[in-house]
Amino acid sequence: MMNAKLSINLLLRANFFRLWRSASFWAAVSVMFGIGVFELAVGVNAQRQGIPVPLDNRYMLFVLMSGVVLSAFCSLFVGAEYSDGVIRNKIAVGHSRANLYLANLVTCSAAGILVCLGYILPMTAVGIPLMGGFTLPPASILWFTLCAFLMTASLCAVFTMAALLNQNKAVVAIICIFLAYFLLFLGIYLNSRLAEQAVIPAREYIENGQILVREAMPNPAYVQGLKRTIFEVLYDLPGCQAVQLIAASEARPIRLPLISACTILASAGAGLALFRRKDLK
Amino acid sequence: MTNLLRANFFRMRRDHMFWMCFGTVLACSASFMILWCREDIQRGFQVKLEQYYFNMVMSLGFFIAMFAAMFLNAEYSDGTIRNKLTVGCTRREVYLANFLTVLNASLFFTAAWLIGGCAGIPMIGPWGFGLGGVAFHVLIAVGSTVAFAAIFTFLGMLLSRRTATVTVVLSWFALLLVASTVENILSEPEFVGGILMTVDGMQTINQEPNPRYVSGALRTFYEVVRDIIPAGQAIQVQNLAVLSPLRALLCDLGVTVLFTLGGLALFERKDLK
Repeated sequence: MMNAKLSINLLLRANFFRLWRSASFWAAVSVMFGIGVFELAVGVNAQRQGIPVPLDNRYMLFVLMSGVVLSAFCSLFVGAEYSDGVIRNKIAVGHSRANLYLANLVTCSAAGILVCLGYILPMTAVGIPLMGGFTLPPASILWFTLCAFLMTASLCAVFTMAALLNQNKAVVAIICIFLAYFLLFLGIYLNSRLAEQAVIPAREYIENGQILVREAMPNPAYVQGLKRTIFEVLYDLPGCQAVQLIAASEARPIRLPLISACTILASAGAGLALFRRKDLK
Repeated sequence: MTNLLRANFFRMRRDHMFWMCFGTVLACSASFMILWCREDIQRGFQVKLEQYYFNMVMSLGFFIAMFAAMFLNAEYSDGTIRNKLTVGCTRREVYLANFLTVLNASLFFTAAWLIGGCAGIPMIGPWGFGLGGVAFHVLIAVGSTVAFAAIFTFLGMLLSRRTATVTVVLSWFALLLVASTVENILSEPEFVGGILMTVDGMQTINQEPNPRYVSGALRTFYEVVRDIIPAGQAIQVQNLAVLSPLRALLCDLGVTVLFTLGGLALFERKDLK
C-alpha cells in the first residue's frame, strides 16, 4: 500500500537536490569545462599559425574524456547512498527497489549529459565566434551530439549498475575507472586495426635512377572474416564508439544510438534484477 | 619501523588488489606480446623484441595507483593508522613504511611486466639492442615507477576522505594527459615540406620552418617537464627514445625526494581524528 503511494518523483527530487550540492558533480563539470577551454585554445592557436583546424575537429573530443570523468563521478555519487545509509532509509520509508534503481539511473545519466555540456558550453559559446563555426551541417552536428549524449548515458547506466550492486565504494570506483580506460583504449586499437586497407595499392618508386613499379598486393594486416565481424561489434560498444563519434561526418549511422539504447536497457534490466535480490544488510 | 614493514608486507601478501594487479600485468604483458609477435610473423615482418617489450611501461602507473589507493585507503577506513600511532609508532615511520610497501609492490608489478614480456622470445628471439640496452631502458622505467610510488603515497596518505581512491587513480590519468600533450608538442618536426621524386632519387623541396616547432629555452623547458612527469618518462621508454637518461633519473630522484619529504612534513601535522 505504502509503495504505491511513494512515487519515483520524490526520489528524483531528492537525488537532484543532492546532485546540485555534490562536490564531485561540480568537480566533474569543472574538469570538462577546463578541458573544453584548453582544446579551444589549442584550436584557436593552430588557426592563428595558419593551420586549418575546423571547430568540428575540437568539438566532439569530449566523448573521449567523459567516460573516465563519469566513472569517477557515478561511483562516488551512488556509492554515497550506501556509505551514508541512505538506501536503507529510502527502503524503510516505503520506496521500491525498482524506483530507487531507476531514480539513480536517471540522475546519473542526466548528470552525465550536464558534465558533457560543461565542455560544449565554452566550445560553442566562444569557439563559434573565434574559430568560425562548424564545417558540417548543423543537423549532423546535432545528430552526433545526441549520439554522444546517448553513449554517455549508456556508460552511466553501466557505472550505476556496478555502484548499486557493490557496496564497497573504493572497489567500485576502481572497477568503473578501469572499465572506462579499457573501453577507450580498446576503441583506439580497434580503430587502427579496422582502418587497414584490404589491398596495398600499386606504387612507382625510383631505385638507382630507374623507375620501378610495385604491383598492388593484399594487405596482410587487413582484418577479415569472423575476426572482422567481432572487431566491428566490439567497436560499436559504448566507450569504444567514442572513437567513431569524434570522426563526425555527414553520414548519420542509426547503429550507434541503437546500441547505446540497448546497453541502457540491458544494463538496467540486469542491474534491476540483481538489485532486487541484493542483501542490503 | 621493521615491525611496521613486516606488518605491511604481511598485509600486502594477502591483499586481493595486489594479486589482481600483479596477475593482470603479467597476463597482459605476456598475452599482448604473443598477440603482436604472432601478427607480425603472419604478415612476414621482421621485428625486434624491444619494439613491443616496453609497451606496458605506460600502464604500470595505473596499476601502482590502484594498489596504492586501495592499500592506503584501508589504513584510514579500518582505523589502522590510529592503532599504529597508539602503540607508539611515529608518524614518520608509518609514512615511510607505507611508501616502502607501495614501492615494493611497484617493483613487483615491474617484474611481472618484465617476465611477461619474455613470452615473445621463443617467437622472435631476444632483444636486438642487447642486454645493455634492455638494462638502460628498464632502469629508466624503474625510476619512473619509484617516482609514481612517491606521488601516489603522498596523495593516498594525505587524502583520508572517501574520494581519496578516485583522486589517486585519476591523478595518473591527469599525469598521462599532461605528459602526452607535452610529447605531442615536442614531436613536431622542425621543417615541413614536400618530397619530389626525380631521376636522381628522392629530393625534398620547399622546406619551410614548422610554425609549431618549439625551439630554444622553451624546448628545454618542455623537455624538463616531460622528464619530471613519470608518465613522460614512461612514454619515452615506450618509444625507445630516452633523450637524456641522466636528467630523467635525476628528475625521478628529485620528484621522489620532494614528494616524500613534503608528505612527511604534511602528515606530521595532519588531523587524523
